[in-house]
Amino acid sequence: MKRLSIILAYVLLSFAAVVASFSLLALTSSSAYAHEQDEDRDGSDRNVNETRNAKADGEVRIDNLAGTIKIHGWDKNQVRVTGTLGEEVDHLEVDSDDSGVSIRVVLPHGGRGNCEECSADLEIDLPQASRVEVSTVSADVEAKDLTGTEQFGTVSGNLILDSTPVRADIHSVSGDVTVSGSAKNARIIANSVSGTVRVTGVDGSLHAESVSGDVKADDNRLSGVEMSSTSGNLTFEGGVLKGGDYEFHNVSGDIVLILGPSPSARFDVSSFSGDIDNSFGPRPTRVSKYSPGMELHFTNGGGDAQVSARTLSGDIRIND
Amino acid sequence: MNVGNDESLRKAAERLPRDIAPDRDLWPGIAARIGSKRRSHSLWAYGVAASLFVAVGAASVWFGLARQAPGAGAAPQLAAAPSPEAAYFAQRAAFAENTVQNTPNLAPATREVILKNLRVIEGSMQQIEQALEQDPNNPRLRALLYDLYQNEARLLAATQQIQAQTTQRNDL
Amino acid sequence: MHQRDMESALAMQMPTRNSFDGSDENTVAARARDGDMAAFEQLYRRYVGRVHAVCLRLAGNRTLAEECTQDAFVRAWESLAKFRGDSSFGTWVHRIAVNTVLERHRTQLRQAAWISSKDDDILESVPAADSGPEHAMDLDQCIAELPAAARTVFVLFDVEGHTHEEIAEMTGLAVGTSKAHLHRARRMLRARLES
Repeated sequence: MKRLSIILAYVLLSFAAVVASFSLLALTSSSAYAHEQDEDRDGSDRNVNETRNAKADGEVRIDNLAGTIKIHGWDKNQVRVTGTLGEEVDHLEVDSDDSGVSIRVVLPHGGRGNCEECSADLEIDLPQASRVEVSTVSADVEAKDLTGTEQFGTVSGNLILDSTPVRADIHSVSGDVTVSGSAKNARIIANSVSGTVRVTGVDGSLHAESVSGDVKADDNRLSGVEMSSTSGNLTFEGGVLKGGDYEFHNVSGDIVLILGPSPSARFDVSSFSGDIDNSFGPRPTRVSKYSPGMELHFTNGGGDAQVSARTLSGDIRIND
Repeated sequence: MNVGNDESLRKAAERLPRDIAPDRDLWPGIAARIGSKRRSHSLWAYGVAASLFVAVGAASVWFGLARQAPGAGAAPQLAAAPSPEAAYFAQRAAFAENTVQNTPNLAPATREVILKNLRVIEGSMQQIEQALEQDPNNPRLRALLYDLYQNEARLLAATQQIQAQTTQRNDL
Repeated sequence: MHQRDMESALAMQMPTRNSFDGSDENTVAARARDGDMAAFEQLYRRYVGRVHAVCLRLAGNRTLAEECTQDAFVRAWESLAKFRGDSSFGTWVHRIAVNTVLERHRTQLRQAAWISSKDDDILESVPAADSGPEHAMDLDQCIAELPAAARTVFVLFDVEGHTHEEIAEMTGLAVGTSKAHLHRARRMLRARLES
């Protein structure tokens, strides 16, 4: 009888074994890398703690649908991920190969993005010169002490880049984007659709836009600027550099330029139906007798830079 | 089969067929899944939308500048006759709005924002076009119109990028 | 039921590879990367047998193998931008397929957590209920009946030719654990095949 029941158990188990039984993978994993994925059988949140070796300037790709992503650059040639996974998250996949390290929060097959527990809170330490690529829908992202090139895509997550990147490419839909700091001669792109974009401490060139949110750049050292909005307000506070090119385009939002005492630049300013208010230079004149708008073209100081500001119905203010 | 030792077992394993066709053609299922998420590099999406509208805008600016012949006064003003561009602009505005309405993966709030801003742009374009009808050779007006084309192109490209981003997400 | 699956699958092995109508593979891959689905289909036709074979051996089940094959190609399409052409497309998509199968099984692992190493010892001591002398020589059949971890390592090592270091990276096992599973798999296979 005992033998029969063992055979019966075997038949059942062998069917299950054919379909799914990688239990030993989890139970016996104890590799040279710290590698644990604890799991509570009652389904509460799970901790992760994974480390991989990485190149000093390799690629690190991070994919987390929801929750939080906190990235910190360090001086080790390793990537370490700690944090917790929500109940509906299937697992955290950490792969490393010649092309770099990839950290991906994996949901069950066919899982949808609007579930409550499919978030993960991740803290990631990685080599500061890494080429970092982050993709999320609603996770809030914070990245500190990075010096390499960064690429961030969020939908509703907010992003704070507090680093010295040589290059950053940030795109959000409704999240706010905050950039503070860059390497010298950096190239920063910061775009949102309805979020606000705020950039400070950047040295180099900046392209910042939001469709309906405000865009603000202050306390930077920029030789090239392109700021654009449709209905948000653009504010630029800072000096203009010799040979620099500064473009501001808006449709119904305002443009406010605070350029410090005697900016040396050629100014090309017009608004179709809004007002122009400048605290230096000549008075604006009408663009056309068929439109209410104003225009203003003049050279201030040595005319060493080029400043263009154009709106359709918004106002333009140029202050020192 | 002699599998008396590990070596001969490994040899037998190596001789196993490496190519085993599935019982049925899986391509239709794969094609259906990838067809619904055509890969578009963000750069590509940006480029297509932006260059389409900017090219059209540039053509319009060229058309306008061509009307602004040197030797002022030689070319007679086209008086209150409706500009040949007007019908095209109306058509293009409808097209842009339809594109946004029909983009599937936009959250309602985002779609609202985009449409609202699209209408801000369209409204401004109409105003400029009206002014241009009266003052067709005005380069400032043309430059402002060109800004609007660029602004609209960026808006539509951002819409496409959201579409591409969100489509990839749904497969997680 | 299981035996029939494996036999019919083996009977349908593709003897030759499709040609690419004159273009070399890098060109076709580049077109696919630019969004050309017809080019991607050519790559699919060339490599589906290879991908399906490894899925079938790792999953041990035809239905799962078909799903994993589809998933692998869909993922390959999505990540084509990352394919640099420094390995062949076939090697690259093969690697995606292995990752896909391993990942999927981790999901089912959560549901089948009651299968433990203790039960594997029971499996070892009892001959397979549905195997008989006519199946004794069928290596693929016996591989499919191995406990999953042993099967995974055996397929990746002895069939696919990966090293233990590579297997450790792909599965998250320690190198030593991989060696232990291989040893066990070979022991069980030899016992079954020689009976």
